[in-house]
Amino acid sequence: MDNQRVAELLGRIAKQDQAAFQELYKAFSRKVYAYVLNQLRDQVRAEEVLVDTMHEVWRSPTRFRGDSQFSTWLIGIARNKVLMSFRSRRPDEDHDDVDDLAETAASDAPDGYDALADRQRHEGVRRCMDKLSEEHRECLHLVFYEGMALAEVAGVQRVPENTVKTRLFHARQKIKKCLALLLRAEGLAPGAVS
Amino acid sequence: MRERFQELLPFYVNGTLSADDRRWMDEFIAAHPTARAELEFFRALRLDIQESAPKVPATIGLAKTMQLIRGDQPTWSERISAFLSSFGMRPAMALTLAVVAVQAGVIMNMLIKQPGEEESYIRSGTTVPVTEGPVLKVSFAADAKEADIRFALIGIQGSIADGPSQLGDYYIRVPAGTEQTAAGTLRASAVVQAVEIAPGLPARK
Repeated sequence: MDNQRVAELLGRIAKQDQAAFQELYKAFSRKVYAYVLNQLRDQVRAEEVLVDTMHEVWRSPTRFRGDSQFSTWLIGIARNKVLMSFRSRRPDEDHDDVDDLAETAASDAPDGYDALADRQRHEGVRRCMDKLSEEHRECLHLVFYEGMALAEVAGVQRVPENTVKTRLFHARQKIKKCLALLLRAEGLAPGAVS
Repeated sequence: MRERFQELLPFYVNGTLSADDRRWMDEFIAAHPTARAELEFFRALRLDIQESAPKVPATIGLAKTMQLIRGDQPTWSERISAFLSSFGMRPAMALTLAVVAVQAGVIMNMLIKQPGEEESYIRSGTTVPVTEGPVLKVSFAADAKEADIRFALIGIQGSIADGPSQLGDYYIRVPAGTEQTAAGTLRASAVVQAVEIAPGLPARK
């Protein structure tokens, strides 16, 4: 949905048009939900944040001024709510940093990506993404799922572009390490799986 | 060069690079066969991330959101604010304009009022029609008391139609045809200094 159509729907929403809101909701709900779930890793809380985010749009539709893509703006709102949710999270819910796991791996561990079969790799990536910090996971999601440009990612994360570049570099390194660890744990030597 | 390649690679894969950067990347990958492995890593990662996205309907959470929306119908003040803002006005500005409009109305009403329509007469209520005809112009003694004046008027069935004027004259109405008799009676009174029959009430200024 382009920004012109979005602006039209927001204008109607400002006049309490529920049909317009539902159309906008259906167009963007999956994107917002995917982003929030990627961050929270909890379906129930992800749905709550989605509802809160979209309710915010209903209450203040005129806040969107068209300076960015509507989905980028929407993710910005969702991000604030995710951060609030993080603050209320219990300490024992924190993720395990992949660096801790990687300490046991040799620094020159072979890149496990090519060695894993598609199905295994898919599962491996999912598990390794879970081990990343929120910032790194968010960065990868915004680039590869949302397809955002460097400046947009920096805008959403509210950091300089160089920080985004660094985060992407480290995220890649950590995923490679993590896959290598998985490979070793499952006794799959590189090259053993086609 | 290698560093630039690493920085641009994720955005090369997601297709958001500028034409110049894209061209530079194409040339770099063509010149460095090892760079292709990096490229494939990110392509596969991108695919995995996209495929791992949750498969949920577009209506996820919609019922709950609509429930929230129906629960917070706008209050009257919010509706008024929304109505005013549709004209680009804030409530304080609208209130100021309303006060100015009322004041302007009052001032305009005063300006277009007909001459002679004094507020004091309007406020006095319904007017009593004055019958035309001769009246007695009476000058009472300076020391005459109200009770003496009333007593004298009762004797001639008279009532005060106007006065006192600046000179202290009262205009007394008596039953038609009794003007001469009434004048004679008053002249005989000790509290009356002068009496004359006037053709009517003096014109009001």
